[in-house]
Amino acid sequence: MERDIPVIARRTLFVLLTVVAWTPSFVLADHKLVLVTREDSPLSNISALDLRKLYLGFVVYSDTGRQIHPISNHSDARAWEIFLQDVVGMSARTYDRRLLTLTLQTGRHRPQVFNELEYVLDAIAANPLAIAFVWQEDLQHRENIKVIRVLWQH
Amino acid sequence: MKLNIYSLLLGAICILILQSPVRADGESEFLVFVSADDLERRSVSQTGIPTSDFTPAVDFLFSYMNGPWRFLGEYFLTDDEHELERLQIGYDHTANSSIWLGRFHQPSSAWNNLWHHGAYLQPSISRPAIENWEDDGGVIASHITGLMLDAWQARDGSSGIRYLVAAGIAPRLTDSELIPFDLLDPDDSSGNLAANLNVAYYPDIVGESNFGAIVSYSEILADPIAAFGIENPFVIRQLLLGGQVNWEWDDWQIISAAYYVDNTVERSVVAIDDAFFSAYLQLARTLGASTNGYLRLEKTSDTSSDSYLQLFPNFVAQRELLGFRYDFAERQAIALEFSRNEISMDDFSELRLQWSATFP
Repeated sequence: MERDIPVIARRTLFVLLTVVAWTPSFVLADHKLVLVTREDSPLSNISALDLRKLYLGFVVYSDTGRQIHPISNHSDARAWEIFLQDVVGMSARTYDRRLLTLTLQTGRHRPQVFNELEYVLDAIAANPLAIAFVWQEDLQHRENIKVIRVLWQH
Repeated sequence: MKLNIYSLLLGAICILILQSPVRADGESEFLVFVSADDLERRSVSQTGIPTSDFTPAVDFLFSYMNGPWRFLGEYFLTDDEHELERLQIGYDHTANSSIWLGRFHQPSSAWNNLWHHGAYLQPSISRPAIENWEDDGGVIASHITGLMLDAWQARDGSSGIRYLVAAGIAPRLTDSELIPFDLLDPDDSSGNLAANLNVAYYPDIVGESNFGAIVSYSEILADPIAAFGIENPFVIRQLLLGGQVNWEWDDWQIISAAYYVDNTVERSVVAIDDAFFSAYLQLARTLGASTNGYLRLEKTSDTSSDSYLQLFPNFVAQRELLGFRYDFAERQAIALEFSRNEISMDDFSELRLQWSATFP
């Protein structure tokens, strides 16, 4: 009986590994955080530096000479965490203080914030020079929005 | 608390605005920085220096953007003072350069240009003595009314150089206090020429770390000072040369500046040319997710012999300071600071406790 327990454990582990190996679509789903804008926007890509500048309150113009407007998507905690790590490279508190400091110094405005995904996508659809970060799978049925940069993927 | 029409009006505006949800809407921003400071001093022997004080303060910041045009206003209010700190109209003629017209904080102050009156954002409760505002016993002009150019020059990668150039009206000296030009009371505060230059290198143009050089010139129009036997108005020509650094790495931050200040005071009989040197070094370290500690050393030379500094007998010539800060809730902090201070005729210790916050 005592010898059966390690055998049962090994068999269980083997079964679990088999399940994992045969279900890559479940465990290793293609999960992308993307930068989006309106379908007819003149923007086709934004450099990493310009993206950081935009989300830190700096003025960045498109190739057509018009100001780009960043939108901050606070509807998903994981997306927000990835944005802080991979785009601005700061903790939430440091990022908040940095934005407040820039506003205090020069009156620069902080990015527009939305806590609901629908409002984020509506704001994108309303302004061809607005950009926002969203999960790619959230763009289903939103044909008027295009992806201009992949920010992170799993 | 002294109440007047300005206090009541701003209090009413604050209540109305805070009752409605104010967010960064892409066109206007409204921020309120509040703080409450409790101060206790020990071993004070000089009269005129309070042994304790409690100071509530509110700093209103409003900015508006419309295309390339910008407007910024800052009004500061405490229980015994109120002042229109900044009122600026700006124009972005490129993405990297702006021209401002109005009243602003002089670019020659490394500290004040970073944190203005935002107590919650300032890395310590007190500011270095050499960076004090004029109405807090400051010996260097901290406000200027005129024109300012704020320009960035991008370099390789993400680095860049920032230029701040300003020219305008210098403060005047009245009753041993520098009085900057007041847009709300121009007749009693007009002065002579001031010009500043602040050039700083940023290894990351969107980061905070930077170091640079500062040059400033002010012609300070001074009223007669009976105590010094000066019976007629006179002019103090103040030239400042300095350097500053604000650097962050890992959990550490260093903030430091050094100034050489030359003052030429022309009296009716003798022309005096004195200079002093002042420097400070503040080192801070993150101690936890919400806590940091800091220490600061300040030193100003020749305070007892310098003709100009003798006009400010309560100016802190030397200070050693230790402080701790704890952030909590959303945009609130509490800080504790202990310091040893030396002025020309006295030395004393201070204990400061501050609550600060930013709304919304």
